[in-house]
Amino acid sequence: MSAREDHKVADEIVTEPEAYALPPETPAPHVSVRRASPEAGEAPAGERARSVRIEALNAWYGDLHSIKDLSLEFEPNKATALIGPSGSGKSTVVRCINRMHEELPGARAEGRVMLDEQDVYADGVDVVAVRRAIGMVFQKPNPFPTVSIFENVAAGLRMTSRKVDAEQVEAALRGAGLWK
Amino acid sequence: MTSLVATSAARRRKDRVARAMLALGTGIALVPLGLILYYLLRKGLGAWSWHFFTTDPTGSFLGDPGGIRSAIVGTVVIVALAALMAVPLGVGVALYLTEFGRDGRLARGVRFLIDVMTGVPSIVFGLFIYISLVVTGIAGSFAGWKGSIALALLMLPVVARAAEVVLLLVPQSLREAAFALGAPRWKVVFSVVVPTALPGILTGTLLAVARAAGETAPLLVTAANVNGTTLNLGDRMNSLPAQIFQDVGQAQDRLVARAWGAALALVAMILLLTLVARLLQKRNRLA
Repeated sequence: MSAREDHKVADEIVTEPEAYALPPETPAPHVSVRRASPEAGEAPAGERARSVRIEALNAWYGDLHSIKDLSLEFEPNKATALIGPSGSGKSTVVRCINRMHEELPGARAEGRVMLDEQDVYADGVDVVAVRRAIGMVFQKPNPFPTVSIFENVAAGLRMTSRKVDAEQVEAALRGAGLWK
Repeated sequence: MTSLVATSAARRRKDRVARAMLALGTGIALVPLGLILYYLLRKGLGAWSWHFFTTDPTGSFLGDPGGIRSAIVGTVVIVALAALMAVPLGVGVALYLTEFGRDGRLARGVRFLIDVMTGVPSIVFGLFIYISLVVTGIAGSFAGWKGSIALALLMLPVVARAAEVVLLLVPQSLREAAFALGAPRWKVVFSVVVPTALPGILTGTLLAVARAAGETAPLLVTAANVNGTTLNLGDRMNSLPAQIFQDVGQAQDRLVARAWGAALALVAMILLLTLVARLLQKRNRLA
């Protein structure tokens, strides 16, 4: 059963367990995909939501072939969850989407990740532009310790040389329930 | 049922012996340190006076030998220029190694050369500058700036290694956080990595400076030894280690006393730098 066929059913195991290279004694991991259309899933005004389609993705950590030939589609304006035990490759898949995987020493990825009709792994693609277009939230929060909370909230704008607007920062903090 | 409280007498005895041996070892190691400090203070403090710090060596055989003003000024100026050259270069090398070269062939080669350079005796750097800049007569013969270059060569590997160690302590997750926001590499380095590592880099730098300030050999053959105070780095320049070296060789008690005073002054200066380094270390977010 491939991811492409299955994604309409929306809640079952998508990748075969043997798709992940793990030490033999580890129980075979399953990654499942769940989808929902949350009310708050709308893209901000002026920005059209985009689809992400993974095609024949393979990823390695050195010699460890972690993701084997994965294809999966993420529809715009839908929340999609990847579910599976630790070490089964959920984060690796996510890190391949915005090309963060290759930042680790010895790690590499092959295949296509289509952002609408653009392949982020195509020749000549600027990884910095890819990461600007595809946001990412980490499992563990990692604030920058040398700057203020304001600067941490504004970091996304600051790091990409965009104008920092105090009202935007306040709105973001209010939205997260961190502003009194 | 075994007792949870009492340890067997044999074990307690072994513990006491082991503790005593370690304490003894530490004590023995501290003896020379204590003696050095004791003699420095006893012999050096006597030489200290307002006059001692505010006059230059007179060079006259009879009468007042003068103080060590030129040596203090020389050491500060020469070492400051050396730091100005070595620190940006050394930190730059470290940034290349940790952020760009990483485990590449060039980075590994550079790392090896840095280790080799750390082990080169200081006189070799002095002789290198002596042969390439002093003997060839480039811009005169002996000069303060030539001494600075010799010290900078000495400091460079120390600064680079210290900075590399601290930069490697910056959590990878911080770099990733910045990369995932779409920050270009240079921005990640200068607005996340360097600020996070800064206290540690400063500590490493100050320790390198402190080490260079005490070096005698490279200065003797590059900046030489004069009596008068000068701020002109193009001239011969006095320095504390050179002054001490010259004074201890003299047959006059007054000059030897000045050497003790100068040695104490040098130790005090280095202690001050080390204390500042310690203070910065405490504020280090990574340690």
